[in-house]
Amino acid sequence: MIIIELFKKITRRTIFLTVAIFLTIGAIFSDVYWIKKINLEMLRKSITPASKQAYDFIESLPPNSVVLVSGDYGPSTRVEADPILENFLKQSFRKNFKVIAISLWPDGAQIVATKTRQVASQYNKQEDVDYVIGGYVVGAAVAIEKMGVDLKDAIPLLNKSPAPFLKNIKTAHDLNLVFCIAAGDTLQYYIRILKSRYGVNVSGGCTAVMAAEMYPYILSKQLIGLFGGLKGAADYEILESNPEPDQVSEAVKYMLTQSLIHALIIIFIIIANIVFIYDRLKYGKKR
Amino acid sequence: MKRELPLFITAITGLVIIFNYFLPEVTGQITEIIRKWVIVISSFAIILGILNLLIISLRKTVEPITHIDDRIANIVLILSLIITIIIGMVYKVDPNYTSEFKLVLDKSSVIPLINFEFQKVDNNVFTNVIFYSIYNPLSAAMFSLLAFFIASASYRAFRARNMEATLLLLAASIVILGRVPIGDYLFGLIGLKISVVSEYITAVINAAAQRAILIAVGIGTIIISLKLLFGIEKSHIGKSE
Repeated sequence: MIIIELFKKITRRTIFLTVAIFLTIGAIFSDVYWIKKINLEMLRKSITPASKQAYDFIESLPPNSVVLVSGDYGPSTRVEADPILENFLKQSFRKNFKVIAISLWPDGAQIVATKTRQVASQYNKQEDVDYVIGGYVVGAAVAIEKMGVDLKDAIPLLNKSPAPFLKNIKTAHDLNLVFCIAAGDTLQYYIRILKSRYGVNVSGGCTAVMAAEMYPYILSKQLIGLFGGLKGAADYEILESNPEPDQVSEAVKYMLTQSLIHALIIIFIIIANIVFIYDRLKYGKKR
Repeated sequence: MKRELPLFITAITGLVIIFNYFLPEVTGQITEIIRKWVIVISSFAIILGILNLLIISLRKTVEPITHIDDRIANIVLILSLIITIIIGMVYKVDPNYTSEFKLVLDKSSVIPLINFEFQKVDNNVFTNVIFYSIYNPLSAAMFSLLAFFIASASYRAFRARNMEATLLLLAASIVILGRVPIGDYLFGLIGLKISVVSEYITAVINAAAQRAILIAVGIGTIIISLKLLFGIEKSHIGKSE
């Protein structure tokens, strides 16, 4: 009974403080070798089918395929979205794809350009030869609609690029894949407009909270797989790099923090229900 | 006429866009013009938004009834806006450089010690200071507050009050644990792979419900669009005088 009385004293402040402590522990210990090893082993055994589907499709594309990557997210969701973008770029450059990198978000353009240049330099790829930075594309759904008619009209910076591979690209239909990493509605725009109307292959990633909304599109094959949230990013890292514990990057490492917070939430839910059931048994339904 | 003209423009524009889906050869050019207009108008809307924000903030700053805290917040907003615009125009965006704090752990000690390390420093004020050092961490910090609120909200909301609430509670708990390695690790001790159960809930039960919602939203959108085209729905042109 003393425990129940203690549980009843849990306030919002207690929860906030506990979450802060768990987050700090997660951040500190995420780089410890044996924790990374356990994380990696567990993640290797539980690759999400949607992640595998997306990865396999990208892997099946022939070399020199032209892919458009649209990083439609801002700094707030970088933790989830950045590793997806990074691994997509790694896979694309490893497979010798030609990449067009854009963002439909003004603050995403900076992130996408920086990340593309960083990954490209690791694979000795040249700007305006192997990849093109399309910058911020204004207009969201309208811009996507324009891509179906005239890609260079929709992405004006492409007109300035001397990249040879752009000569054969007139509309989005000429692209082998559109890969959208979204923290908003843009992935759905790409599916509804480019896939449904123009038959362009669309795949992508999104934040964890959005992933549930995307499943109908995956089942109807309008969306070719999906990397959902940090788990999707970790799946992608394992599929692409198959890293050893001392080689893992952010996505796999941060899964420890996410594991701790998820476990904490479950503990809080159990505590809340113990108190609730106890009160109901003691005082009846009215209380 | 003041109300009829916008309604007429809405109807014509909507019809042209719909016809373009079925007859792209006939309405291709006019649709292209309309698309360009949308992009131009969206760009002007940004200017309008900035001016509106400036006027409201300036009014709040000078009004005597405004609380001192609000006044400070509004001054910070105005200054941030002006400084960002000026620095952005002077230095421009340079995406070649990044600079960020990286958490590096000392693995040689028993309890890992933290030491912070600057990864890279650049000289561009806009990319380095405004974007990566101010906007980036502030934006991430705001979003990360969700972790605290979700923990607090789930403590208060997820209670087994009745059958439906219990089902919701169980499904949520399975998905919460199924998305992280610790779930498989803990349930693996009793021979259960919770990530598979979580995937089933997301890919089958959730997808069925999401599909129903999507279809309902689609039908609703068609109805609203038809009401707009026929001038029945007039809320987008404001209240009548």
